[in-house]
Amino acid sequence: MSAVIKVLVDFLSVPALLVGLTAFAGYLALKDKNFSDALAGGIKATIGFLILGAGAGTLIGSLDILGPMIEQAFNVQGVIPNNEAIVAIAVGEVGQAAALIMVLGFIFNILFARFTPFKYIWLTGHHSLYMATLLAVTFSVIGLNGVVLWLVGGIVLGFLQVILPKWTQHLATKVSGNDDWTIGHFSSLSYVVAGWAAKVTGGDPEKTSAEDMDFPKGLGFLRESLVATGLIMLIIFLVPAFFLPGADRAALGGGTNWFVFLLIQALTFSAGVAVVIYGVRVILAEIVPAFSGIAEKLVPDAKPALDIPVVFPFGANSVIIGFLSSFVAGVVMMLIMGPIGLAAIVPGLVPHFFVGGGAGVIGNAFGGRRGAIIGGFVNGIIISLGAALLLPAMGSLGLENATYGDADFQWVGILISLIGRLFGG
Amino acid sequence: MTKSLKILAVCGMGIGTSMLLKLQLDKVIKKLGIDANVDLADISTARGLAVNADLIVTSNELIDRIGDVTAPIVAVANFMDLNALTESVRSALKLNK
Repeated sequence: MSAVIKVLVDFLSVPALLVGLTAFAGYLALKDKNFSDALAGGIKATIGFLILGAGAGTLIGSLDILGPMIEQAFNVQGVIPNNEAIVAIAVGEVGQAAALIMVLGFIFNILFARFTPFKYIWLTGHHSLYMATLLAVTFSVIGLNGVVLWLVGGIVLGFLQVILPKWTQHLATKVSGNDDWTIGHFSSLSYVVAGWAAKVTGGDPEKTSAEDMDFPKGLGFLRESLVATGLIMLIIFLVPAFFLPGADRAALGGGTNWFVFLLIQALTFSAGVAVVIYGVRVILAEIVPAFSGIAEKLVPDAKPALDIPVVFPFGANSVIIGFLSSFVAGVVMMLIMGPIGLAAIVPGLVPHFFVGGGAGVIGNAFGGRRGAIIGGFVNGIIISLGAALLLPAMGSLGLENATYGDADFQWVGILISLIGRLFGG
Repeated sequence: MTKSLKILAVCGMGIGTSMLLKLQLDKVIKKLGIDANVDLADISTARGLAVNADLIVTSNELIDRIGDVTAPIVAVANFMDLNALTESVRSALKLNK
């Protein structure tokens, strides 16, 4: 008998199998899916989770070259804010808790939507996974473990998934003109501050809309995150290399020319991110439809909380303005933060593009083109500071050269760390 | 119907907005009573995957990035407007009312 229990315990303590089992159960709970669909879904979700680990290995290989190089060149810890990188690395340590928190978070989201006035269903599954991982990391750092960790994490995740959409509802309503849906993206702090700052300091949104301008379309390639990440990583690898002593630089690649070596390292980082995203896609394709189907049956009157690019059609120019402005703020912050003793947060392209772009659209809705610039800029400041302040909250994972890129991951992690210090000493 | 149709939902990273599109498209498929599967893709890989697709659905501003493909493309402006999406898919697939 104990042998059977041992197998069960071992099975459930493997996060990949746990996620697979959840997907399997979710499929069975939906009436129109049969057993073979459910089994295939479970296996696919399991494989998706295993793919995350493969991507993490690739990313760590690339970061282990970049980190020491920045350290030696500038004498600061250089950190890349990239959600996919830190999540893939973290699930290697807290995968079981992360998987359980994600599942419990979905359940509590439905319960809160059913029984509280916050009637929202969070459909941005990759952010649920990333937040679940952050909660698993930060709550374990302050000493929670086992069932308490899973339950507290799940309740907090479910609560964030209804309260933050409520917080951003006025922004979505202003941008789109109706309130059928809202934003479900863990950058709410950036969006709310961007909207407020644009309203206070921006121009007239009707008369000075950024959308009335002629704007170059040449930056569209930034939407291709694979290309954009590779390019920006090349710059990030090359700059510190220039500040190394010549002999050290020449020795970087061993027998290979240092430039060719760094080029391959930069593109390898992008390859690692692509692998992680593929894994996330495989997991979510099995889990989100099941979650959404169950939620629609149980809480038919809830509003969906959606990924940020749903606001992009309301401001194509504002997306680009917000991105550029956010990125400039990120560069300025990087230069300021090293000297004042914080980690140097290298501007990550993905959060600056998606969140800066979203903040630009929101800023434009509240304050015209000046609002779009201001909206993007405040996002750049918030996510750079947040990324640096989050590092100590993540324990040993804070020493990795990657961290979370979006504001809500950052403030939630920092808050949990502060609460831990208040009660734990 | 002999073989089920392949629909590709495309967004920047292929994990967020394309998932929303898939959720909406699954409802459209049910409404139209057709046999189809929806896969997700990011714009970098969409061009390659489009070869085997019968229909591509993406948001307005990404159309230019997908480039020349043989499959018809449906552009979505309002993600929550299920009726408009159903009509676009119906006409792109040349289905009768």
